[in-house]
Amino acid sequence: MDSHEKKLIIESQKGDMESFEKLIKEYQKGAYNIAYRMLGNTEDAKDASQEAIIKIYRSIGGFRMKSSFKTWFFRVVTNTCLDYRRKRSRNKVLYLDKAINSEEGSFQREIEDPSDGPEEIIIKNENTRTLHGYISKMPEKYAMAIILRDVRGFSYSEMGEILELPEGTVKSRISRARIMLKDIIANNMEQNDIKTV
Amino acid sequence: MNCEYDKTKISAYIDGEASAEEMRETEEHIKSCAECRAFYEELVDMKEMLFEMEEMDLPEGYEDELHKRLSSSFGMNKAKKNYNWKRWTAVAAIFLVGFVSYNVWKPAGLMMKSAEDGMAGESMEMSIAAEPRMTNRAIMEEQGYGDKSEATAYESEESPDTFNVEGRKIIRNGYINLEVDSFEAAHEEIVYLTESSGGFIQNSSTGKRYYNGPENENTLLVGSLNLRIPEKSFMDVYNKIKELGEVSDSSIGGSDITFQYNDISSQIDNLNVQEARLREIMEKAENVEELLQVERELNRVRTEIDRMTGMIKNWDNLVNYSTINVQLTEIAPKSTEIEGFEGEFWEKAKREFVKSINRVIIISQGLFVWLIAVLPFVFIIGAFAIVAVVILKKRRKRK
Repeated sequence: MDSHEKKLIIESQKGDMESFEKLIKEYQKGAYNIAYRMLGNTEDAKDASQEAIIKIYRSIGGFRMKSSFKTWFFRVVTNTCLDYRRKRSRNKVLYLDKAINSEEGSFQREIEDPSDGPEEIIIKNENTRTLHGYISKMPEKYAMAIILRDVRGFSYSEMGEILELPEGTVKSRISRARIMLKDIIANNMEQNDIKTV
Repeated sequence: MNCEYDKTKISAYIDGEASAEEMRETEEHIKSCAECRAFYEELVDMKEMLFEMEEMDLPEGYEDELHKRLSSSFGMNKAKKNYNWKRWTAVAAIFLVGFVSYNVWKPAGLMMKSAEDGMAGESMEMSIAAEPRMTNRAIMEEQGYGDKSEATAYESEESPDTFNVEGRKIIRNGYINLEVDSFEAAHEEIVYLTESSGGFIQNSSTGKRYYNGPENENTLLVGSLNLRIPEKSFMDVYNKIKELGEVSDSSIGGSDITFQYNDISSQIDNLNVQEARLREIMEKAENVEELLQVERELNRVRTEIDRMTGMIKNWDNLVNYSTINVQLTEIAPKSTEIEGFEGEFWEKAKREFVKSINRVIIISQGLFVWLIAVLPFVFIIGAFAIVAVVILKKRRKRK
């Protein structure tokens, strides 16, 4: 941890909001992106990532500088996202941009939208869009492994700290998550092939 | 898959996270085993695809919203407990000394009039409120309201009547983001305002928002209302709602559909003429085939008329009933309402508290002038104080 960051943490612990905002500035985009990949839509991503940051702000007094702030930050973010996802599945809100899961697999809800929404403009690439859909459909711990490793580029040891798991477990979880995602992609491609034939 | 080779090793190999020995082993295996090579390549492709997923930018206003949410959670910040009490006691002592000596000395020219209290309070509130309002306006300008297609954005205070341009069809909508002390009271008031203006509530949603798990005492409510207000009372209701709490965000927009409206209206007129003519032709039809042909054409015209009339009706509805979206956020913790006390009691206490604060501000202004005036004396008193502190400390040490 560099001394600048340490200084900001100490100021934040005294309750200085400005220092806190400076401190999290470089991480908040990462938090938002993890939440987006995990929850699948921008509204929830915004809400969950902000909720996580507020939690961090309120509990920063208890941060002991023993671990790195970065991994601690993302630990709270990942946990908040998982909680959010569970809470959401209990509430059963209808999300227009979320896939429907049924016995025959899952598919996107189709609703006509005459205008180009912001998401459509940002996500131009059809490939990454479907990939995004697949990830948010995976079981949460595997989705999180893929997001942290391949989308956000965390190292195994960082992931170990974030997820509070031994590195060996991280390793096998990533491997399993990749095989799972690979199979999902393969299955969906087959289905598409059948449709086009 | 037939090969028994540990797939975890291949995955770790891709990330370069395996031990040197394992790296070498996996590399050798991939070279020799076609199946694992295919697996490896698939994973690499997938990893590349994942890597290419675009990073999302933070949505507009993300940091502002976060800032607001952080500020409102500030009261609950545990770090606050670590305040240096000594420092605060010192500050309090200075105020106490100032207050007492002020009341004793009451120097001329600093006379306090109760009428001034209210004024000072008002101007203070105004300076606080002025800032967000300014930024709102700046944002509105930045976003380029008043585009060619989007007719106009009006600032409420300046031109409440500009909307009622004779004969023009303007769909108006407003947005208010309101921070309120009591969600229920504000909600009720908005419902009342809407209904008494002859409007109706199109959508309404309420939810709890948690700061830290579902602890009931910290639960604040958030909600949104979608109001439809008769066009003539739009401005009135809009302004009244703004008064219900601290406005953190507001905007008014309108789109002028006069052109499209007139266009469709004249198309309907034309179609009506066409319909009448077709009916005439139908009467004159001599054989079944002709009759059927005319009927088909008539059917098409009729459908078209219905569709356009529907559009006009929808527009009329949108023009006659303006839309106001209200976002309500409760900010004060509910624990301020302690059972057993009358509501008025707290209101009074609050008022008195605010009054006292205003008084403190006026006093401290006077105190500052006075302090400079008595600076020489302060030095002497200070010297005494230091001596006193030294003596006190020595005594403590002895204990």
